[in-house]
Amino acid sequence: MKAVLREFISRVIGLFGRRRSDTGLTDEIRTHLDLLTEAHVRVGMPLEAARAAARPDFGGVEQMKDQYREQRGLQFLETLHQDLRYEWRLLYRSPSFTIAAMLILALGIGATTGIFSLVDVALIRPLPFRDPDRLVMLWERMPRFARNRVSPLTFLDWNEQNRTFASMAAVTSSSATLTDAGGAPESIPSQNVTAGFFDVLGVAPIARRTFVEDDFSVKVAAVGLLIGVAASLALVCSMESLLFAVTPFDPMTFAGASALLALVALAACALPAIRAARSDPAVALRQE
Amino acid sequence: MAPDADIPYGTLDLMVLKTLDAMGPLHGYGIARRIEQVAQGSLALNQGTIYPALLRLEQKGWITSEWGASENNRRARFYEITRAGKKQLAAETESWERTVEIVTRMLKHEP
Repeated sequence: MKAVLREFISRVIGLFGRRRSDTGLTDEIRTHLDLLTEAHVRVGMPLEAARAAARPDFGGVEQMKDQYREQRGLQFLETLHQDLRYEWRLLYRSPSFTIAAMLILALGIGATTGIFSLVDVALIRPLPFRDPDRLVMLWERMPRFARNRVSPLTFLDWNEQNRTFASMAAVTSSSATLTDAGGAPESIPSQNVTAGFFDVLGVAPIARRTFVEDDFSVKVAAVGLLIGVAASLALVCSMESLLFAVTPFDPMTFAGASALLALVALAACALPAIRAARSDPAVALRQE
Repeated sequence: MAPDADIPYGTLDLMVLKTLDAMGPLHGYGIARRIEQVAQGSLALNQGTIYPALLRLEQKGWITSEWGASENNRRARFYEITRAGKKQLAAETESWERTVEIVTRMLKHEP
């Protein structure tokens, strides 16, 4: 196998320096024919007859040269090169035809590439999300609109009562105006999404994390609770002197006060919520 | 490449290698004449056909060539067998002898 590889490499190298190789071969042939002629002369033939006799001894020169050139290089490439040079000469001689053909080809290739790029991304290529064939879009069907966008409260209900889908998220289109590095304002399309949006799509950020339900509000509530407790204790301590035989650290007092506060807070939240749940959303919105 | 009517493709290579191995460096004419001599007239060789064969052998690394002067002071290329060429010669000789032995045995087996 090594010899075959070496032959191939030699053939590739043989593509260069062809003219010098041809000259060398011609020299070799001439020497060979001269030696053949001399051999005939030595046995008594006259020079001209000897020269004529040498030719058939040697065989067809041009034929052998063709075989030699075939052995020397890579015929496929050489023929290709020859054909290309010929074609180029033809095209060069009729420039108007060549330019027209080039323009038509350029337009055709450009248009096809553009259309394909669009079709590829829009139709052929799968969505860059996890399990794209399991992703669905949900709409609301109404008498007038086959696909109505869903209101946020409806989505929350759907999400809560959902038993069909692994997870749900809502998205709505919007836009934001940002300024670029030069200070020029630019309107950029954007989308407002619910917290679970990236989880539904199965897309993870490169660093850190995306949104988590409620973690923001829980933290705030926890901090608020702590501040509230600390502040109330401080306030009560300062008022101790004004109260009769009541200490803030007595467990009974503490429990009673906490229970009363809880009832008030509950009433304050519950009563409006019950009223809202009872009323028709369309009526409520109309009055806004 | 169409083979010579009398000489199969591969055996010309073998004969050239054997000639160079036995005689030392030779130019094209010398190799062709030597092959004709050894064949003792039973071979009608177009002498020119050794040049593509010599090129092939050189491409495979079995011989090398150098420019020099012939007996009559003409510019000629002298060819010499290489170490790889000697190895190839030995291998091909053995394979050839084995083929001959098998065929002879097959032919002798006719009842």
